[in-house]
Amino acid sequence: MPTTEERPVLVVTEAEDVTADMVITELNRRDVPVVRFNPADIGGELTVSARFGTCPAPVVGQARTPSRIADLARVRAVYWRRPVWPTFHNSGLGDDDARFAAAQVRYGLAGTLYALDGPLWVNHPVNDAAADYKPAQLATAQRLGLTVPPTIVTNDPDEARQFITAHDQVIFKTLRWTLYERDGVQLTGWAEPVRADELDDSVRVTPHLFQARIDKAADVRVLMVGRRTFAVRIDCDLLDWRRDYSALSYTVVDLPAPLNKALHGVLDHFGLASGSFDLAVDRAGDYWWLELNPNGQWGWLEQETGLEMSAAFADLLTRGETA
Amino acid sequence: MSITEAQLTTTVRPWGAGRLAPYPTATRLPYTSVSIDGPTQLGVFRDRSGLVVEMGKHGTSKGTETNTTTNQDSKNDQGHDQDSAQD
Repeated sequence: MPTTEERPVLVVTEAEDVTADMVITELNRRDVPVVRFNPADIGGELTVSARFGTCPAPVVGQARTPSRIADLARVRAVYWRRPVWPTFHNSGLGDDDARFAAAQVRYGLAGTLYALDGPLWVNHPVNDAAADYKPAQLATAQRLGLTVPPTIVTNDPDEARQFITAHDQVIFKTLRWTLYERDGVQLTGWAEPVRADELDDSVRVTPHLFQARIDKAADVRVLMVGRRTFAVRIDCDLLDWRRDYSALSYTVVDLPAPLNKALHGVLDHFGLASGSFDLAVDRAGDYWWLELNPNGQWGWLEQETGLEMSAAFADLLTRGETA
Repeated sequence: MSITEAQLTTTVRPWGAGRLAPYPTATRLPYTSVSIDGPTQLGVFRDRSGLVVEMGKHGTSKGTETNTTTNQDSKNDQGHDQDSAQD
């Protein structure tokens, strides 16, 4: 029998999420009730039921899983990790019915959660999405006093070539990651220098982002959880440290106070309780903004450094407020 | 490449797509199914024969990406909870 949890933390994620498991383990240690579900489980293992206009509380209801029941009016926090939305593509439904069903889940389930008054969102998906636009990040970062590498977003091949020629080295970055397979092999974007003569007219098809390469001494990955900051310097000889995790060495560092303040300002601007920042530090010791991943990975960093990141998430979700 | 207006909106792949490259390593994770344990709300990973697999460090995804076909969690920083048709 499912049990009704008092002031639960909702953990919204897929089942294969060991990073969420790390946070849930810490919540269990604190005796904080957790109700975990994945939107894709709707219909089978997930039931949502909410009423509006029926009593003084503007929204009352429940989310139910095989093991737990969450009283929606009493939700303390929502940990929005890696939810998977049902597409109904393999359900035997036709395209129109599948599209209809998928939209009803999103607007019914997420919409009900958006209606809740009380919970702290880590993070609110609407804010995550708004923060995921690199051009908006760059301008926001500079407004808040961070140093931003010269960058151009354009679908004009001539302007792109001029930009590349005008800078010592330039890299191409995708504006957004998408699942991309070629011949059964998954591909992704990697930071690599690009020459002006490599460009052609197909730059015109979509905007592209080109950025001056920073002569960096190291990368710095910063995880912010509420008001807490975890900064890790990543040393390696790679332009893109994701290429070889075995080649990286990690050092916990303290950020200069003005930088720490500016990064918190970026989170506040986007309404985020947490975020992962990629920065570069140059040979003069100055920090450069690279990007913000509102829902970035950090589990491996906790294991590499021993920093108590999952405990910080659990503390934040337990408090149910960022302050 | 020189392209016409009509091609622009139909068949030409954006330049940037040609810059994408494979992930450096493919890791196959040692489980075939995951369920949620009711009392703890933790994922329980099982192999083909139904035995519980201790995920430990194997499961945690890296900063941005590793290439696995079996582990959703190993996808990158972006790409989750996004629906281009609706965002």
